Amino acid sequence: MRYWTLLGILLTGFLAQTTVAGFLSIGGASPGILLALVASYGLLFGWDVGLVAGALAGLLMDAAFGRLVGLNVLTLGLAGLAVGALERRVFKDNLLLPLLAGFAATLATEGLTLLILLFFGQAASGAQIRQTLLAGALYNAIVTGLVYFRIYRSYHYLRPDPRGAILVVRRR
Amino acid sequence: MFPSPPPHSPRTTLRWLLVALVILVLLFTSMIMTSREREVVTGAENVLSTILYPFQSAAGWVANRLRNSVEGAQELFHLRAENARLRQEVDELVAFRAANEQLTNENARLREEMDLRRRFTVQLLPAEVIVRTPALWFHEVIINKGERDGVRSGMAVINTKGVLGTVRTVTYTTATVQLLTDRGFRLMIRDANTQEDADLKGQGPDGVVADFVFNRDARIAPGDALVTGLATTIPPGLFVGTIAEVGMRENNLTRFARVQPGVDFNHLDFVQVVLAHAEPAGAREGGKP
Repeated sequence: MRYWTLLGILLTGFLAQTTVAGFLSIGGASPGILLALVASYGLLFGWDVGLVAGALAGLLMDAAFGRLVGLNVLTLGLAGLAVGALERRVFKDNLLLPLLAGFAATLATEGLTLLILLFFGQAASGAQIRQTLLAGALYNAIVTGLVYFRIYRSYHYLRPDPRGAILVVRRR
Repeated sequence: MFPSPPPHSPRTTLRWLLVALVILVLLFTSMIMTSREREVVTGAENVLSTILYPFQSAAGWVANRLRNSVEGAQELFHLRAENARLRQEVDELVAFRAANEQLTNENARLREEMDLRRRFTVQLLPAEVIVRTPALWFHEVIINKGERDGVRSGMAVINTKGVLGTVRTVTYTTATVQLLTDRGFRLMIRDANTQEDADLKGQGPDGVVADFVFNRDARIAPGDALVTGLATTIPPGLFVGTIAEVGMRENNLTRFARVQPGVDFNHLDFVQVVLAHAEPAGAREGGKP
């Protein structure tokens, strides 16, 4: 596995998330570029990569914007772990797969975030949950689809076959 | 075929569970420690903010210019009507300025006479919004001015339409501004007409609400202007918004008002930090000890 390339993509995603994502908000929801990357890593490379990528992305987000430091590590790490657990049970070229994963991962991470915020006494109204959660989940489903298929196209580069490349030689 | 990995022994599973438990405990401890209002950021936050600053600044600059260009192009179609409206506004402002100067002088004279305990030295620091916090549940923006420019936690941030929030945390190069609409936002405000004090609270997408907790019979009405009240780091009298709707809480003890903020939170690009420094009594020239 080309871990350094995966790390580079994640850092680029973090940079995009912290700079342009906030300006691309629709209906109060910003695109979750990092969540899309973590979900894609999980689906393509398994739960271990998803978990580490999620925790690392969460750590960076907490350091950059953390109101509750540790919240993003927990939610993004769990999202990577949960989505990655499906890796061996799904067809990776299925068009619906990243859309559903992005949608479900957003609902799960934001739902967990909401529960933790409620635990810390920061309540949210029903309108906020409906608007923010659904708009965010739909937005992230599309972003995850775009990110997933871009990474999927480089799958064999990012995860070379351990048996090595097959060299086909034509006999003359 | 590759051989399948050997199954984990109960001992290994237990070890992993313990590791997961320790990590969870550490994360929750960190969240508990940072859940309270804090003015000081950690070293890691400061370093990361300094690294991100040039990227955020550049992206914010491009985004703000792009949005202004699009809006400028749209406004070209309404230029004539806009011009007429602005001329009328200028005429009104000239009259308003004269009245304002008179009131300012009168206010200064009365303050001298009453020997108010605190007076604010106000200085405005222009800043640019470089990031909108991407978290769904928090309403915050990051500006390109920080500790090195004299920004401190709790200071008010305004634009031409009124107060938009207060500084929550400050790093060396940037500051995070908690907007009026954020659920954790609190500010003491005052009805400019009746001088009734209220507690302003952010409500997320539901807007902003002011609770008139000190007087259940508060004489407030839709259309009343609301300004900042008594606070330690914010000068009083800054315009916040107007009352849109008035009601009574279910406990029948508190009147509340839905507030229409003066600021349009979808168009935040250039703002000003109110660098207000409270002066103690007797510090000013001619003040009584």
